[in-house]
Amino acid sequence: TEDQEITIKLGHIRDAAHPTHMGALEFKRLVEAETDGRITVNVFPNSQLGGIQEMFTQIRSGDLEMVYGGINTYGFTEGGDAFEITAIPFLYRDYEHMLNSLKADFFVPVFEDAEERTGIKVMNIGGDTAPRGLTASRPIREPADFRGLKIRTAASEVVLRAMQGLGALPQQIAFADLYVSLKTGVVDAQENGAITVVNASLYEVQDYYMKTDYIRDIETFYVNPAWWDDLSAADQKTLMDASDAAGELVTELTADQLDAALDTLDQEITVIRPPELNLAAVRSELEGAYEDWDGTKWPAGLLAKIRGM
Amino acid sequence: MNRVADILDTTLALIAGLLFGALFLVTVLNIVLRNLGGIAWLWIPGMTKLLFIWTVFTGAAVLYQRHDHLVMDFFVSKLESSKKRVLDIVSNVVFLVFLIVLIVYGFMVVEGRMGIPFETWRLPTAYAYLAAPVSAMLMTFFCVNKLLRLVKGEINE
Amino acid sequence: MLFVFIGFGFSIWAAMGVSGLIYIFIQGDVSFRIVVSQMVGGINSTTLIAIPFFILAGNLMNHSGITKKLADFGDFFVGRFRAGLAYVSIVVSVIMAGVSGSAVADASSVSSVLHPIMRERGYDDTFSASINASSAVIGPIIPPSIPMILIGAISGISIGRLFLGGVIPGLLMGAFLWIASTVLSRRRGYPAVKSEMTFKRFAFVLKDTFLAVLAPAFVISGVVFGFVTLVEVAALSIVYILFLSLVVYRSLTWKKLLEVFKDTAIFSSSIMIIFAVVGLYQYIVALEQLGDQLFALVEALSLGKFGFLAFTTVFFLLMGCILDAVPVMLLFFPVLLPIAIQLGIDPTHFGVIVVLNLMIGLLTPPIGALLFIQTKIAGLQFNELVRAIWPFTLALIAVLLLITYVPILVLWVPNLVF
Ligand code: NA
Ligand code: NA
Repeated sequence: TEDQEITIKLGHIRDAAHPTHMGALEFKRLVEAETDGRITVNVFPNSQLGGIQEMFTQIRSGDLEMVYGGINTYGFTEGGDAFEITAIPFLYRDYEHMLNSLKADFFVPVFEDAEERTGIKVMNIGGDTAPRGLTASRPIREPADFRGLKIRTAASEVVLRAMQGLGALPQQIAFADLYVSLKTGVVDAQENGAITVVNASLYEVQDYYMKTDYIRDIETFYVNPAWWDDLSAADQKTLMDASDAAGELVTELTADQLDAALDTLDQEITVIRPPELNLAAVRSELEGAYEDWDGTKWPAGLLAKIRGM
Repeated sequence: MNRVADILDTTLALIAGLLFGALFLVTVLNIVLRNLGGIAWLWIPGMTKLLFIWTVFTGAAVLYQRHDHLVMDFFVSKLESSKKRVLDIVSNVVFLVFLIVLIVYGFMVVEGRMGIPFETWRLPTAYAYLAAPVSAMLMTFFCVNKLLRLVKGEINE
Repeated sequence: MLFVFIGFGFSIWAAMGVSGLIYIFIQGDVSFRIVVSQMVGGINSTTLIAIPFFILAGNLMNHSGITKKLADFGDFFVGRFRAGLAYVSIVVSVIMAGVSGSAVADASSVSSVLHPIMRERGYDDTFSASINASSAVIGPIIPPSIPMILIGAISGISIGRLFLGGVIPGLLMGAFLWIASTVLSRRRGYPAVKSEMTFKRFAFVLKDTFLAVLAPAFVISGVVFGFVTLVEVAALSIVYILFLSLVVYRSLTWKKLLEVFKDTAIFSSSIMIIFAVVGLYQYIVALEQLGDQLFALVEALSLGKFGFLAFTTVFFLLMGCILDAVPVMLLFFPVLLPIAIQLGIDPTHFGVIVVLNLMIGLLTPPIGALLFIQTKIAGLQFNELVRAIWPFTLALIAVLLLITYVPILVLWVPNLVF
C-alpha cells in the first residue's frame, strides 16, 4: 500500500516554546515534504490529548498514533518498569553515555520485552533534554545538606528513593502550585532543569541553583506496534529519518536554551557547580540504593553494564 | 421499583457525604503530618483524587434522580404537558444510550487502567476510573424507572 | 447542536455529554473509550478539590449562623444610612468573598439572610434582589475564587497571582455598586433608619462577631503567607469555621454537620460533573484544532492589543449571555490566552478580566444563574428582575472596562507580593 493516505496524530506534553515542540514540528515538516503531503502529521502540544499516561493508553488502544516525550516516562507504565533505570539519579555521566547505553546490544531484549508487555513500541530515541538540577532556599554542597529538606520532586519512585536515602522529605505538589508553595515555604526546594527554573520564574522564589545534572532523559517517539507493522518499509524509513533529524534539532535547541538559562540563573541567584558541589560524596551515599531492583525491576546486571560503559 | 429508587437515593447521598468527609479528613491529616511530624505519606495525593472522583460521580447519580442537575429549560417549560411528556420520553431514551456507552466503554477503560498506578501509590488508577461506569449503572436504573413511570403516565411535572 | 439538547430539557452536562458522544461517533477515528477517559480525566486533578472545600466553607458559614453575624456586623456600621441595607449587602458580600469562592453560593447565603430584613424595612423586592445578585459577583473576584482556580488549573497561570489580582477590582466593584445603590435609593426615597451607635453596642457587636469576621482574614493570609497549598487553605478555613460553630458558638450539631457534608458533596457534583464533560470537549476542541482556527481568525482581524481586549470582552459577555460561565471559560480561555500573551498582555491581567467578564454574565438574561436564584428567594418574575437589575449590571461593566484598560489596577497587588 505505497500510495495510502495516512494521518498521524502526534501528542506531547510540552508548551509551544519547548524544544520538544520544535522537534515535533520539524518531524511534521520533513515527513510531509518527503511524502508530498500523502502523510499528514497533526501535532498536539500541551497535553491537549491528555497527560502522558493518558496518551500511552490511547496509543495502546489505537486511538493515537504517536507520542513524543522522554524515555523516563516509559518506566511508569505497567510492563515498562525496566525503564525506571533511565531515571536513576547520578547514573549517567552525560548525554552520549545515556544514548550509547540505550542503543547498546544488551538493551535490545529490554526494549522487546517492554514492547510485548506494554503494547507500546519505541520507534526511535535521540535528542538531548535539559538534565535536572535542584533549586533550594539554602545552599547544598554535601550529602548532609539534604537532611530535612522539604523538596518537591517528580512523582517517580527512583527519585523518591534517592531523596529519602539522602534524608530529605520529598513532597508531591502540582506544578501549577509550585511557585506559590516555594514562595510561602510549603517546600524549601524542588528539582527541575535550568530551563524550567527560568521559564516558570522559580528563581524569583529560590536563592540557589545546584547544577547536579543528576537525572537525564532522551526524546523518544512512541507508536502503536500494530499500526507500525502495517506501514510500508519505505514509509517506516521516512518516519525514522525524520525522527532522527528531529532529535538532532532538539539537542541543538536544548543546548542553546540551557546556555541562556544558566546565564540568567548566574545573574539572578547563586549557582553552585561541582567541585564545590560534592557529587562524588552524594554518589557514594546512594551506593547500593537500587541494587535490590537489579533482577526484579530490570534484568540482573543491567545497572553494572551501564556503569561499565 | 420506586421504593428501591428512594432507598438508593438516600444511601447514595449518605455515601457521597461520607466520601467527601473522608476527603476532608485526609487533607487535614496531610497538613498535620507534614507540619508537625515532618512526615510525607506519599499515598495521600492519590487517595484524595480517588475520593474526589468517587464523590463527584456518586453525587452526579443522586442529582440525576432528584432532577437537580444544572438545567436550562426555558424552551421545554413553555410546552403543554402532553407534548412535554413525549419529549421527556425521547430525551430519556437518548440519555439511556449515552449511559450504556459510558458503562460498556467505561469498563474497557477500567481494564486498560489496571496497568497504570497512581503516581506515588501502587494502586491502579482503574479504581478511580471505575466510578464512571458504576455511576452510569446507577443512573441507568434511575433512568429506566423514570421512563416506566413516564410511559405509565405517573409523572406529570 | 449543544443548544438543541440544552433547549430540549437536557441538563447541561448531559447535553454536553450526548453531543460530545455524537461528535466522536461521526468523527469515526477514535473510540468511545475517549468519552469515559476524558470525563474522568477532566476531574482527575488535585487543584480542583479546592472547589467543593470553598463551597463547604460557605455552607458551613450559613448553617452555623456566621453569615448572620456578618450581616449584624455590617448593619451596625452602615445600616443607618438611606441605602443602608444595600450597603450591608455589599459589605457582607465583600467579607464573604474572602472565604467563599462562588458567586452562586454567596448569592444564596447573603440573600436568604438579608432579603427578609430588607423587605421588613420597606425596600422593593426588585431592588433588594438586584443589589444582592450584583454584589454576589464580588465573591469570585476577591480571593479565594473558584473560577480563578479553574483558569489557573487549565492554563498554568499562578493561582496566587490571579487571586491577588482580584483584590482591587473586587473593592472597586463594591464602590461602584455602592454609588449605584445610593443614587437609586435617593431617587426612590427609601427611609434612613436610626440606630444607636454607642460604644457599648459597638463592644457587644464586636465581641459577638469578631471571630466570624476573622475567617476571611484567615483565608487571605493563608494564600499570601501560608504554609499550605490552595486546597489546604480551603481545608484549614473549614477547620476554623468548624471550631467556631462547634466549640465557640455551639451553633452546629454533629447531625447537622453530616447533612452539610452531604448537601455540599451533592451540590459540588453538579459543578464538577460539568468539568468532567468539559474534559471531553477539550479533547474535541484539540482534535478539530479549533484553537488554531480561532487563532487564525483573530490574527486575520489584526486587532492589536486594545482591539483584542475589546474583542474578548464582547465575545465573553455574549457567550456569558447564552451559556454558563464554567464551560465557556474552560473551552475558550486556553485558546485565547496564547494570543493575549503574544500581544504582550499579562496572563494574570487577562485571567482576571475574563473571570469578571463571565461573572457579569451570571446577571444577564436569558441564562444567568444569579437571576434564577434571586427570583426563587424573592418570589419575583424573571422579567421583573431583568428590568430592575440593569443599573447594577452597568456599574459592574464600568468596572470591567476600567480594569481592562488600566492593567495596573489588577497587577499592582500581585507584583507587590510575588
Ligand atoms: Na472569594
Ligand atoms: Na448570562
